[in-house]
Amino acid sequence: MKKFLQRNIVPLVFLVLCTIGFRYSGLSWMFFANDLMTRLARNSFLVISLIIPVLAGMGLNFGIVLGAMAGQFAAFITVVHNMTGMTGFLAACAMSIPFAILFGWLTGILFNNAKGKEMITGLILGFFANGLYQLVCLILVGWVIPISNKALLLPSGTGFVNTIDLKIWQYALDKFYVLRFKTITIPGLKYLNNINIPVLTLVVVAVLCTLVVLLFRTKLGQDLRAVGQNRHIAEVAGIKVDRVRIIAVIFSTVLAAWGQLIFLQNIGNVQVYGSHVQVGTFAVAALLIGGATVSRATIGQALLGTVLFHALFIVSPLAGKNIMGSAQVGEYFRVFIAYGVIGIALALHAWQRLAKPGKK
Amino acid sequence: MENSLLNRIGVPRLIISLFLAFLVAAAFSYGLPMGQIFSAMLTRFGMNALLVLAMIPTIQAGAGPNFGLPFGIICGLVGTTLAIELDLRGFPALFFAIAVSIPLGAVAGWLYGLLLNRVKGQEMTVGTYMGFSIVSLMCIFWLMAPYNSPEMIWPYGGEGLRVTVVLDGRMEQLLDRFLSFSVGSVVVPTGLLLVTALCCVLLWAFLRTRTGLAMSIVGANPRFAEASGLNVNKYRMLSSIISCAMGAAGIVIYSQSYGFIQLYQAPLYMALYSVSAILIGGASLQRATISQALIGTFLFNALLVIALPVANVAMSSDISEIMRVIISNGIILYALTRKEVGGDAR
Amino acid sequence: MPGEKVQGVTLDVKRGEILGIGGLAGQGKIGIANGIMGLFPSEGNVRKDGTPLPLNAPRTSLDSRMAFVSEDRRGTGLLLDNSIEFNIVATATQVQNKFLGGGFPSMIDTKQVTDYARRMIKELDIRCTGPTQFVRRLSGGNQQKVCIARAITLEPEILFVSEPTRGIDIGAKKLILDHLVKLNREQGLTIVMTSSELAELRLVCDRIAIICRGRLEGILLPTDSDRDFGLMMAGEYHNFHRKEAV
Repeated sequence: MKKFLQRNIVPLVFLVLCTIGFRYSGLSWMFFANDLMTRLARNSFLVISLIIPVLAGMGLNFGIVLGAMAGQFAAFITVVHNMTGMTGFLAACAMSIPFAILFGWLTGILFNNAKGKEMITGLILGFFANGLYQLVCLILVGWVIPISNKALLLPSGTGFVNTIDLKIWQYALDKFYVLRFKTITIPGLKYLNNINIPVLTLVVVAVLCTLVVLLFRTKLGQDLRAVGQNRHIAEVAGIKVDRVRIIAVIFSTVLAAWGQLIFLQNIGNVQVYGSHVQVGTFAVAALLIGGATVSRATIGQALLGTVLFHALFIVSPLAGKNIMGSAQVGEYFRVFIAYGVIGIALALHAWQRLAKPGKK
Repeated sequence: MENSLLNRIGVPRLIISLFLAFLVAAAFSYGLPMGQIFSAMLTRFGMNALLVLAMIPTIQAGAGPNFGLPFGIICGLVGTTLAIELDLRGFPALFFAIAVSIPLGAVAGWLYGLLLNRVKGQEMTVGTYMGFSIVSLMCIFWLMAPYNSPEMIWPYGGEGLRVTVVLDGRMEQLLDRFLSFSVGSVVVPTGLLLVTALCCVLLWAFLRTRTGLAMSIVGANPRFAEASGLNVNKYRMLSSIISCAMGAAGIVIYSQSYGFIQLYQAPLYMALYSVSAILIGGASLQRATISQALIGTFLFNALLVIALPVANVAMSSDISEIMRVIISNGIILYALTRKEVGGDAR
Repeated sequence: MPGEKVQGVTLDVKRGEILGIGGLAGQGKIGIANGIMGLFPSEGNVRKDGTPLPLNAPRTSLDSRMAFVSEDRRGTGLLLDNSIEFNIVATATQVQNKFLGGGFPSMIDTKQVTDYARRMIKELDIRCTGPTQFVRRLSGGNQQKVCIARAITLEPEILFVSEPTRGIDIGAKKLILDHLVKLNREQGLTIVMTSSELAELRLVCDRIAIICRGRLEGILLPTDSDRDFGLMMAGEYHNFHRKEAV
């Protein structure tokens, strides 16, 4: 019992926070559950994309922002060529791959040059890449890169408008088949009534989870783990450490690109200059809230973390309003939680790593 | 080879100097008002210098650039807002703000130092996120704080303090105008530059005292420091305290020159800009000198000042903000991935 | 000492002697000096001139006029990316407030430092471009000389020197050993020298303590036979002599 508490202290604390928040928010269960289901479906993929680099010993990959950018580039292309529905979405997924591989490869090289400092490098890389991204989307598009669809450009003729509509393939996955229980009478499961369940999205997430699990059963997966446990031993054992690390980052980036596309197909538009910015922070915070650490993460933790983090997201503005008399407080509180959780998790990790050799 | 001119100047410094020279030439050829531009360069330099100098103590003590600078910055903002709340004007306001900010910053630096000493080797990541979280925590403070000054709260209802508070008539450009004079059309913000110079001298002197030397020894080689009877954690702590106190005073000077206090999310990335400025000046993550801080501050800010009007004439104005993001983060990435000279000491 | 441990050592160091501590590599001999200087956790009693010394406190060891030239030259002994002159005076500024000018604030006196460093460079024959050259650029032997210069700047009564000639060319080796002997003969400096090289211990020491398997095996004179040294270093000396007595 004590061990269970110790190991799951972070998720438990957040469970309590969410419960309190839910009580004070005054939200109905149906609204809350529906919102949570939507958020779980659209965000979990991004969180799962973080797992592989963690297990490869590279810490939390703040560089998934680049994956999100790759996804958005692909989304822009489908909009320009007016690819609609499921075709449009699948085309976007396919087209995001080359971008994501390129970005992931470059990120991996960068990380290999900053071993032991991957997280701060990833974070700064995210900011840096955002600058380049703006350069492309705001200056080069329409000037150097021709865009046939002028409606996407700012009046001056260069640069994308702030919001690009994705109605053409909105809900491609989510509304493919929506399951809605109405008549469950079993007491414990009654709560599932009237919740819209985006089946296909969840299936895709489930397939991804299975694939990640399977990946770690392969030779490559074992190599990843070995590199994660000890780089030097792995090197001596004949594993090409640098190459394995690059592959891990590429995987992560590609998954993040798809994750962003799943996110976008639910939202239905791209905030060209904003949708991707916080992707890394929020995904990392969610993973950590699920109980993961900088060096250990499981799919269960990723999913649990997504649920808890977004539950907090849903309830905190209203709870803030009802407790503190200001919705803004709740807004800032959840931003604080996201940053604070990451900060504390990183500090604890560094602390433990420092304390360990001392005990010997 | 290792003493070649290129190596001494450093590749990034060279590129940025050339780029700056190119922009100055472009500004001339577009016939932009150079007097104003040079004045702005001097002012921006003075505004930011102390915030960049604040990086030196922690770098010297081996804790890396102080990504936790927001800990100090928010203290400075608290000091400045208090000065307005008490309805102070002119130099009393400025001195009060600084006098309150420095001890607050020192306390914040002490707390941050407690953390830093437990996360050796990960100071940058932990510092960044702790800085982010303290800034968002302070957002709640700005919303809830019981300030009453009409200059700071929203005029018609609305909660909490305004996002930007105007310092007009209180301490706006107080130092900038002090003993200010003009050379041709260039206005020299004498007071601001004098304060900057004073800070440099104080820091220079401190780094040469026994305590200052101890800090450098701790940063250069902790094991050597221990063998010399020094308490490594004590000096790292001291560096954090000094750095945050400098950050606190730095933001007061920044705000008076800028003419506004920026609250809420504004301090979020300020540490990053200071870090990149000192790195542009040629510092590494382990070693930094006052001259590197000054050169870096000047290059970085001069570039930003001149890029905006040139970009406005040549192309879209967004480019200068984009450039700031790319350059500042690019230089940090460069420093992170650079194989430090003799990283093999470990 | 990580990986190396020494236990139950009782040793007297006589004023004005050069005591050697020898033994095979990895037997624990470097633990003694590191322990006394407070660099690694240790227990026991250390007395200097009859006064007990607290352990695990580097500063008190330094304050008791003992100085240490570490075997871990690049890791513990030097500030690689600092100048020769700063390396030489660094510890002295901290422990003894030397080289700090008067006035307020009391700042490092660069002229005094440079003059002193020049003298040391000459005295120890440190081959360098000047006192401001970075220590990293020096050869192993010259780096070692800087370490020794730093230690004697503290004007110690007892100097611990660990592996002073490890990884150093022959010319520098001789110079360093000669200088240690000179310090001993001319200034009466007591030296405790730890080394894995028996030959050099026998060359300069008055007595040689042999450490084997983390324990003090015995003390020999440099003139004792090769056989005794060999037996002691193998840890068989007492066994052998007991048998002989039977």
